[in-house]
Amino acid sequence: MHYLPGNGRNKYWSPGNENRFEKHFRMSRSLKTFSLQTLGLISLAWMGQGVLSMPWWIIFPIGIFSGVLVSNKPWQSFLAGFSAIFLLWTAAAIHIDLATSSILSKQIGELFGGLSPVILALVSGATGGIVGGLSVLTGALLRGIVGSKR
Amino acid sequence: MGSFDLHYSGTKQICFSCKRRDFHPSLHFYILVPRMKKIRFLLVLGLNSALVIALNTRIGILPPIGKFLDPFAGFWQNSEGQSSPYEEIVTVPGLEKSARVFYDERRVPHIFAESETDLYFLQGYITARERLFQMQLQAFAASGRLSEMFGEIAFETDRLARRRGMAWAAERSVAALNSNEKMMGIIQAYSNGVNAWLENMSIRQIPLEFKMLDLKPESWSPLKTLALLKYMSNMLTGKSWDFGFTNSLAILGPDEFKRLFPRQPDSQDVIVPPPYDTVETLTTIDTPEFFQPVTGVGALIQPEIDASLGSNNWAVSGTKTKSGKPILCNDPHLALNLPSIWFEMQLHGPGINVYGVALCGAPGIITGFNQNIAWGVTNASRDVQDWYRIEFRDSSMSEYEFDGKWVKTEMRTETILVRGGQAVMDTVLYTLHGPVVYDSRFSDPGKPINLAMRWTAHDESNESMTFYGLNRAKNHDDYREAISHFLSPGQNFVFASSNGDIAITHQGRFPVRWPWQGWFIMDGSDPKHLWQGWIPNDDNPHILNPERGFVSSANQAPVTITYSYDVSGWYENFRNRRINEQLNGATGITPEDMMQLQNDNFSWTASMTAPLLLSNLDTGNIPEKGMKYYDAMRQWNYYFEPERIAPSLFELWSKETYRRIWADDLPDGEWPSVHHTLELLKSDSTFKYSDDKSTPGNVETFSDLVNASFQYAVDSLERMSVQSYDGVHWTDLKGTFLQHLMRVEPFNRRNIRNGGGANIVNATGQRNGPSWRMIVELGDVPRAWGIIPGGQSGNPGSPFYDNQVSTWVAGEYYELIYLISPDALPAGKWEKQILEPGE
Repeated sequence: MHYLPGNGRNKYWSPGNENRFEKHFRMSRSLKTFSLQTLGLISLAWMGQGVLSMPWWIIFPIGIFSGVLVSNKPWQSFLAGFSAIFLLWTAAAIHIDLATSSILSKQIGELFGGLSPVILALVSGATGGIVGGLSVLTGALLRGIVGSKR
Repeated sequence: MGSFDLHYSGTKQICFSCKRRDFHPSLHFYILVPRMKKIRFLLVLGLNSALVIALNTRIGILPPIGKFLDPFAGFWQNSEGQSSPYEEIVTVPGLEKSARVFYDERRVPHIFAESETDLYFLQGYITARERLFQMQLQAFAASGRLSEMFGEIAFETDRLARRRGMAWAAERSVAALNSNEKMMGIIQAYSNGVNAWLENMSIRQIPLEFKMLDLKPESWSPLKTLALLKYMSNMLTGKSWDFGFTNSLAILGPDEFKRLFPRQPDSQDVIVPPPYDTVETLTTIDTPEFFQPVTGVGALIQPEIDASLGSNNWAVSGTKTKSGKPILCNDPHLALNLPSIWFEMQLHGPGINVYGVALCGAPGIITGFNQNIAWGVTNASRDVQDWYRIEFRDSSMSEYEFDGKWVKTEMRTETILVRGGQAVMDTVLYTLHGPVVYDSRFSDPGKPINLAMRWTAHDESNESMTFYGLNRAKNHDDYREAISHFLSPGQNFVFASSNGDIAITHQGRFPVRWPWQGWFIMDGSDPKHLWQGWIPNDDNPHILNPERGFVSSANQAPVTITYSYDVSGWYENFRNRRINEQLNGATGITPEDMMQLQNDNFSWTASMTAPLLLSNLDTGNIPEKGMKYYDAMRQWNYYFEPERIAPSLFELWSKETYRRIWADDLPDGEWPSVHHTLELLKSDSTFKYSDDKSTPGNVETFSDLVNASFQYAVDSLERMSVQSYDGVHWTDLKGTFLQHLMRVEPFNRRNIRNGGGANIVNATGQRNGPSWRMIVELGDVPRAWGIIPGGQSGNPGSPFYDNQVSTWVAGEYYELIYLISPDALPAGKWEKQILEPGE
């Protein structure tokens, strides 16, 4: 059971208990984890939504799965989930918008109180992003519990 | 959830103050670490789930946000670009043989099928793809089911529809249709086509409105098609002035009533001039003493009556045209909605090659042309809805009086499902007249009265037969045979054929009535008050190739008083005069001339009324701000052009004068028509209705009313926010706009700057207008022009949702491409699609 900084095998996670090499290694590792997790999430969500036409909430189980699978700090998990779905959804929305000269997004933006197409795409992305982020966080926390029993 | 037992395990507790893991009684605070993790997880999981559920749920009128904004299946997927093409090869389960569809530049589908079944199947399939939401909305409105889509807000509308027997009538029609195998087959094929699209559609393709409402489209059925046809009947004949007339009669008494409401308006330019060659002459109808003022009719809930619904149609013979071939024109004036009520298409199959517009939900073409003939419709405007007062034996309402006996009422329980609420049951009582629409449970609270409705739209009929026949008709005989099946809503069917015939028929099944029968609420217990039978179909007014070289109708009276039967109805008196006057004088007519006539903004009403108003105006007393309007009106040529100010003054001034004449005299009653009011004013110099009854001791003259109304009109115009540099322009006052069916503001199209108005050939009012303008010049190959105020697509995210609007506003047309064979496409942009049968 290692819950506190500096305790047991988790010593790298204690800021005061590592050398420069270790610190560098930790940062790059977490960056790598983050990127891989984000990319993995984008691919999975795209597979589910874009290819298999699954409903939007498929990002919820995907996020949990990814959170359980990947060892990451909670806030980084959230960030990975948010970034992945935000990027995917915003990009998809903008892609559609460009291809269709904003015909519909202009009208829907008006419906939501005068949002421009780009803002509407960002709002769409952020909506998915928050769900994605929370889902990966949920998964990461689940891993914390499951992991703690091993 | 874990247990919250504090004595669970020392190893899982950590002292917050000194980090010890053992239990040491003190004031120190222990954190329960593993549970903390669990709780944190459960909290985040809970929050996350709650968020997913919230974003997947419709709250109030807000769509489910997550689902709606999802770019993979939400609204984004409904965006279509100029170049979003159809798939080139599609597999459609249920199709019998491979078929081809060609879409022209405006995305009008030209369907080429190998069998009749396939043709109607594909008509359903393609209509569903473009207009699914409209189809469902109309079908649900038709059978009183809107509450299932919109909740409580639509409940009263549904209840009225149910009480008026709309669902009942549609079910009866289905039962009747079952005996007609051929037509049932066609309606079933259409229905199968709609469902084939529904079943193959991905969740991305669900129409935008369904996504906003978070609903799944319901599958189609022949019942829905028949309900839709009943809905059209309701739109065109579901009117009655009986309550208003009854109230007016109670105020005026019989003699004065007859003077103010002549059975047959004076100086009429009728559709079919005399002589009438009728089979029967009914001179000996036993006329009951009728003028017994009925009291007790309060302000009952009535469906909205819109007088500006109407239509024009005419056909000119080859003797009057430049080409020597007949030209046929039609423009039905209906609600200006988006998507447009009509869907334009060409249907080609064995024995059929027809082009025109269809209703979304019914097979066949409603108004259009084929290689040999063209036809068009206007509303017959006959009164086919009457009301009977019912006396029940007791409060159980299980028996009612008829012919001195007690007759059992039939009960039909209507279940209205309300979205987000409880289902509501409403029992509607049925008598031999029809449904008791108003009774103690549904009535003006102060004045309960039991009223049953007799209405031709309730009767079994098979109007689809008419369109089946017309779509394939080759000549006048075929046309006559086809329309003989058309019972309701009564229509004026205009006809022209490539062999040179022109004709018009005032067609429908109309009751035989004694004079004045059906004008007022009748006695439901008296057999004399029943309809006396049906006018034989061959006695319906009809004319073929008249001397004057044209036939026309614009909702005016069909015949003069010399016709054998009573033809009460609510007729328009102005548009037809302009049309006939223009056609009478014309020779060497070209399609362009006809386009001009359909867009004609001359107001006969104004030409008759404006001089009367101006001559009664006290010119010494015109306020400064009114001068510009007064000057404009004096120089006016009575054309309702968009950027003029004279029509604005005229509209407000004449309406207010009319209101001031009648509002105080006939408060709850029906008022004499504008046309007859003018006649009365002409013949009666001391017009007693000019007096305002609310000012006792003061006797106002017509001139007083005119002056007061002028002041009112000018004040109103001055207060308006749509001022241009020279005043309020007609187009701004009128404010025509195209309204999305769900009234979603960004999907409406406003700022439509056009002219015209009620009682004008270009009958573009604020909310109603020419829903389809069509001109057909017959010949070896017909040439035709047409336009709808909208586009082919029902999707606000498509460029084809509103691509025809500006052309329509400008009064211009598209040339319609009538394909003779699928192998010879003319030049232009075409999208070709092959539909293959499959699983």
